[in-house]
Amino acid sequence: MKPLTRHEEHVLLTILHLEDNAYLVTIKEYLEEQTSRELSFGTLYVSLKRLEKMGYIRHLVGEATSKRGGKAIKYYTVTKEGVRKLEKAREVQDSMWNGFSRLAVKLKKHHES
Amino acid sequence: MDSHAWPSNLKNIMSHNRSNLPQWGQWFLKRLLSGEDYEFFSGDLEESLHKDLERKGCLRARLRLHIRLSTIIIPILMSKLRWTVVLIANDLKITTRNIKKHRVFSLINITGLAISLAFFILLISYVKDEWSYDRFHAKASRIYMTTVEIMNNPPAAVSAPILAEPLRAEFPEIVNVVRYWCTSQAVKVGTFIQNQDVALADPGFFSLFDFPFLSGLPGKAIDAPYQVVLTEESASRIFGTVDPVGKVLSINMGNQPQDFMVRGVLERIPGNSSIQFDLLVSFDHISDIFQQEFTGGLIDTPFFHATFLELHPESNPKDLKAKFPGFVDKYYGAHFQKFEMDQSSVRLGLYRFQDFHLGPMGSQSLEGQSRPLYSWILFGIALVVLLLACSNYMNLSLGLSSLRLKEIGAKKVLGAGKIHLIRQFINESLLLSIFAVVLSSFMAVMIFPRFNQYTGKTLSIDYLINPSSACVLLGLLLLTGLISGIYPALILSRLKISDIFSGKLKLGGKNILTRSLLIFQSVLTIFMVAGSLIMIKQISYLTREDLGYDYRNVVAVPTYSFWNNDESGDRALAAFQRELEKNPEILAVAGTSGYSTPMGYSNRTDYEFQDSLVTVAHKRVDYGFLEALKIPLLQGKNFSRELSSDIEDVVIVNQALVRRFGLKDPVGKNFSEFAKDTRPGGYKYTPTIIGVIQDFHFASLHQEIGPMMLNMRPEGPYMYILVCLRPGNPASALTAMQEIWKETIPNKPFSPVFLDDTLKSQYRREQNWGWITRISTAFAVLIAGMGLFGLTALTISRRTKEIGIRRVLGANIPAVLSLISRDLIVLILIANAAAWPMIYWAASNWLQSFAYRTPLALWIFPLAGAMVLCFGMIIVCVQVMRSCLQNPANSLRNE
Repeated sequence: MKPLTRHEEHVLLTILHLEDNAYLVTIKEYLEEQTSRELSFGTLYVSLKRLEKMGYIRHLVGEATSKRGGKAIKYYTVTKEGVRKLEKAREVQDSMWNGFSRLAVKLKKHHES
Repeated sequence: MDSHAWPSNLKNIMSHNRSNLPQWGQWFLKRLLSGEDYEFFSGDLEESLHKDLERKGCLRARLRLHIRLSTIIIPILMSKLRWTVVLIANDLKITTRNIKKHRVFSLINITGLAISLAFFILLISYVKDEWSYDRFHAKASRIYMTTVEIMNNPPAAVSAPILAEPLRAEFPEIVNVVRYWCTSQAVKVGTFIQNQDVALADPGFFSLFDFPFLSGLPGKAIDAPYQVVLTEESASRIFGTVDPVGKVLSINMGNQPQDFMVRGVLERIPGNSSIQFDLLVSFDHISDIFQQEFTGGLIDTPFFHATFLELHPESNPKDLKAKFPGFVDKYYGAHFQKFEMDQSSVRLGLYRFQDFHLGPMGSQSLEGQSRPLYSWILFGIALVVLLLACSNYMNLSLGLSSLRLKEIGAKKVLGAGKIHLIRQFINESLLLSIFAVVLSSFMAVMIFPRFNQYTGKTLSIDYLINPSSACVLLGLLLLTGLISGIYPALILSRLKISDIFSGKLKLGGKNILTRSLLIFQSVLTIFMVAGSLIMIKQISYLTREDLGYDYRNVVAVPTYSFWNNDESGDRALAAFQRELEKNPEILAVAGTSGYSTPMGYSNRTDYEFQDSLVTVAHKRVDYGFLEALKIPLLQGKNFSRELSSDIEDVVIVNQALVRRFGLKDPVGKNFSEFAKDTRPGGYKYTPTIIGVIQDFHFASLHQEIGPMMLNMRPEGPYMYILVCLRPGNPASALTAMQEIWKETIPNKPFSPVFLDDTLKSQYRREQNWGWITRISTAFAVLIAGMGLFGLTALTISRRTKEIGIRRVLGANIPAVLSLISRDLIVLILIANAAAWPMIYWAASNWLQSFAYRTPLALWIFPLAGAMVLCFGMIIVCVQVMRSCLQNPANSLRNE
């Protein structure tokens, strides 16, 4: 299994955060807010497609509303595999970041001296 | 979210089930996404549009939507096409590397293709222009011209002014009748005095033809006399402004200047219109120009202008034409009886106006026509050049491929399929073709002015910037790419991997395809060279052919008299003869019923001779005719005032007549002795021959000199007065002539023409086409030469070692040369054998279209063959010398 990219990780976490209200527009807004970087619909669409294909997320079809021009909505939720994948990513992350602050402080002191 | 909170303008945009996305975005998304995904995705987009609308202005929100859409499409496209893109990008990289690596060969290929495509661009624009003549009128398919056959003359698209009213009255299927005539007249405004093409037309002109107005009212523009319509160009030429509506200018009408008010200005008349004029006035002014009213019947009225008819959409021109004899009988029958003439001597007909430009029907008032032959010549040239370039490409890429075998092998080992290899090679040739198209467009832009000069057209690259031409060009590009790429692609993709790496394989140079392509190229080149030699010979024969008379310094003055009762010709002649005695600048004066027969006004008589009919043309001349044109009298004597017998019963004949009737001793013979006048009725024309002159061309050189006689019977007016001037300064003599003209015939315009000029313009077109053939032959030979150069370079590079060893062992240069060029000589000899019959067939067919043609000289065949052979040998020699003069050590050392 390929590891997730940073972007994919962020998308999965966003969907978790948004709970019942995760769909393209909200995901984009949340991500842009958190990372303070512009994101295009196309990029997001492509990564959602990929994640779904890999089985980490799945979608539910919601109701159509007038502000969507009468178009139905597609909500995303994270699957069990998705959560497991995230946990694993977290583990890797944590082990990598383990003791970071201590080492960083030490290095800073070294630089200053 | 509550909809009440939205700004009011949102509610207008909002509506259920109607997408707010722009069309182009919907189009792309629909194709990129599955149906379900499209639904969700466009929904998401719309929602974010609304959010933007809440926060920002309507315009900015929309703008963001467009930007968003374009940023969406690219990643989605990339995710879909990723691998295809990667493959193509890789192909392109390899192709560009190959192009760079083999610079010379790529240059040969690209220039060859570019030149041939440039020819095609010229061809397309030329043919497009030719075939679009007069088709831009909305009613084009319903516009017909009336034609007439007078006596036995060929039909011409001319008509008589008196015919319009009866046609309109008699036939309900004729919706509109427009008479049109164009003549050159002096126009004066302030200090501006120049001859301009003044057209006269009936008021229906603007409802029949589509000539849009820049200013003025089309409906009323030429309804009344003394009103004039200008064109964009003539307006700015005459007034210096494009909007002179309401101003006054004066036009010479029958030597009487008259004031006209400008009522409108037309847009520039398209180049592909047969109707061309500077000024347009009412047709009523025809009687001012001719100083007479046109009345009477068909026999004593001149046929000179064009008559356009608009037929009812449901009427059939054939049915209409069938009614014409009855029509002539009804309106003019009595008139024919009065003159004791047969009605069938004037036959009316119809001719579709949009066929006029490429058709055989002549007309004085419209622009000159052209022959479809020229389109075919251009097509042939373009095709030959294209085939040459394609064969170059095939030969070179096959030859080069032996250097690329490793690349192909490696690809195959790595799993590239046949299809992939084929695609790569086709892509390669397509890429080259694209380069070639770009280059050829530049070439075409550069050639266009020259090409226009030779063809007399006003073409530009704009002709190609429209969908249909672009499609043709794109198709041509694909076709060229495919033709030249497909064979190498098929051959190279079929190779076995084991063969490739064993190093035994040898492609190009020796195989059958390369040889047959070389033969094919040589055949085409020999064909082009021989063809242009024959064309040049024929054209120079035509233009240098002795016309049988001296046309230099001869001025023809048209008298505008058409029928017997008009005596202005006689008056002018007498006046000029008086001047001849006083003015040393004038050497001879003669009147004639026509110095050539563009409109067929020379009379003809059919004589029965040995069970066949012989048509004899006769021209009315006067005493000075032979002297003015310096036509040699071979036997007998000239007309003279001292002649004892009745001057009206004697004729001078040409040699063609003597030959045709097989006369042994023609002088003194009467026509009744050997021929019978077939004219119905009591009168027979059987004159006595008093002299024989050398044949001279009284018609176009395209026609054969037929039997002809000169007489002095007043059977027609003097339509032209010929004046032979002293060489040097014609201006003073012309001024003197004009003075005399004004005194004797003030009501007719004085418009002298130098015979020199008319003859030159008659043959200029042929000469120009001769040039086009010459230049294109040079290009064809150049392309073939470049191909041969490339091929020899390849052969030599492959045999460098062999040549080195031979040199070391003592072979001299001629020996090496014969080694390399033996094949080529054999191939070119075979090509000669194949080309000669083709040339013979094509050339004799082409020459058939000329009555006066050079014999098909057989020496041209070996000459063309030898030229091509020499050219090929020079190319080979240069390269062999170069490789032989190298120190053999160099070529043998590198391993």
